[in-house]
Amino acid sequence: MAVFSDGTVQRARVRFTNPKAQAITYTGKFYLALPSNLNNPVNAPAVKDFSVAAQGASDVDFSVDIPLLTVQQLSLVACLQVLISGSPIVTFVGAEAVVVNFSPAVSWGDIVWNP
Amino acid sequence: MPQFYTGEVKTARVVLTNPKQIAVTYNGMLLMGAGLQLVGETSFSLSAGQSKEITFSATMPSVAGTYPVYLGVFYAGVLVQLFKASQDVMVALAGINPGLLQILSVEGRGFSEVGVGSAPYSHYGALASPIVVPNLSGVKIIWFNRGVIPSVFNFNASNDFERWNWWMSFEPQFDARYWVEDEYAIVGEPPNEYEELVNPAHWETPAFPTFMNRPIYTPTTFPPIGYPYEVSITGLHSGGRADIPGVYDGIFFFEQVYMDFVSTPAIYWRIKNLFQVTG
Repeated sequence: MAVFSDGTVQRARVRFTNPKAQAITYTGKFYLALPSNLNNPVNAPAVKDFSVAAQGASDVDFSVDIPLLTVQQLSLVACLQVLISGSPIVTFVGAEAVVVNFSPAVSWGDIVWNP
Repeated sequence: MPQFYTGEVKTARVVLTNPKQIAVTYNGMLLMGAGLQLVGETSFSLSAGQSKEITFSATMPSVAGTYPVYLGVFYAGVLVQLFKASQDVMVALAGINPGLLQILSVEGRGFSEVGVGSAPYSHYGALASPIVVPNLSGVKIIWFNRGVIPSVFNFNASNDFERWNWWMSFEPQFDARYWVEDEYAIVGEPPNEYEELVNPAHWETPAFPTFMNRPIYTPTTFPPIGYPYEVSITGLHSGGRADIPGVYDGIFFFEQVYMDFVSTPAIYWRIKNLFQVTG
């Protein structure tokens, strides 16, 4: 189980293997979704083009925006859709849950003193 | 740099923003100094995405100095963020009520007494209370020295040392019948500069012509607390005054004034007025 704070940016690394006899350029689309609704991302998907040599393997990193929560905690799953020339060929669903916890934050202007 | 007095209660305002999508109640702590001394605290709530001005009532520290200012924001007892203000705060010793100080023109002279003391022979005396001069225009320091020749004056002073032009006025009492007033201009520059800046024509014939300005340190920071500023006076001019233009900015204060009078068994002095020499 992966646990992250909301509003953060995390990195996901995925190893792809190309079983074919020729190099292929893929598009990976990585997003988080509710387990009950895998087709609807809850964050902006991270999209990346990459190539894998014939019968080779390649590690690909995706920058994942952990969504801001409106509840204290949310359990999500990682989804990875792989496309070739814009056509989806497969969608993987992560085996472990991605738990997002609310994390308070604050930003400020500078201090002003009353005379 | 904001300038306040020790123990003074001031109000600090800061705009805080909750970037999250849940309303949060925070606790804010206003902290000063390297030791993060708590000077003000308040709780506040920010709805999702809300920006709001939060005010803190802050009690200035009891020790004079320059303090960095921090704001600690806590949620459920856990520090969320520690901010550091872009400006430090200078805290001066609160002592004499500034209202007691008479503001004079350059040529003016007043007699509002702001300090009285005495020093025994060959001993150092200190001010009974620190003298605090707020950001006044037209403030002059006059020393009245009842007695005979003052020998050494040591100052722990805070000021704009780049424009260090103090007037000192002595009023020695050679006998019990009358006071004789005298003035000295103290210039915080290399020793010889005094002679260059003071127009000798403005001085009457001194009883003891030697006047030596001997700074030990040349502070470059404000306030230069901890930098004693020594002025040695081995002579006592009688009458006359020098014209040295200068402009003061900010608060300056005397924390201690030491006197060592070597030629009299007892000396009495009083600080009668403060004013600024302006161009």
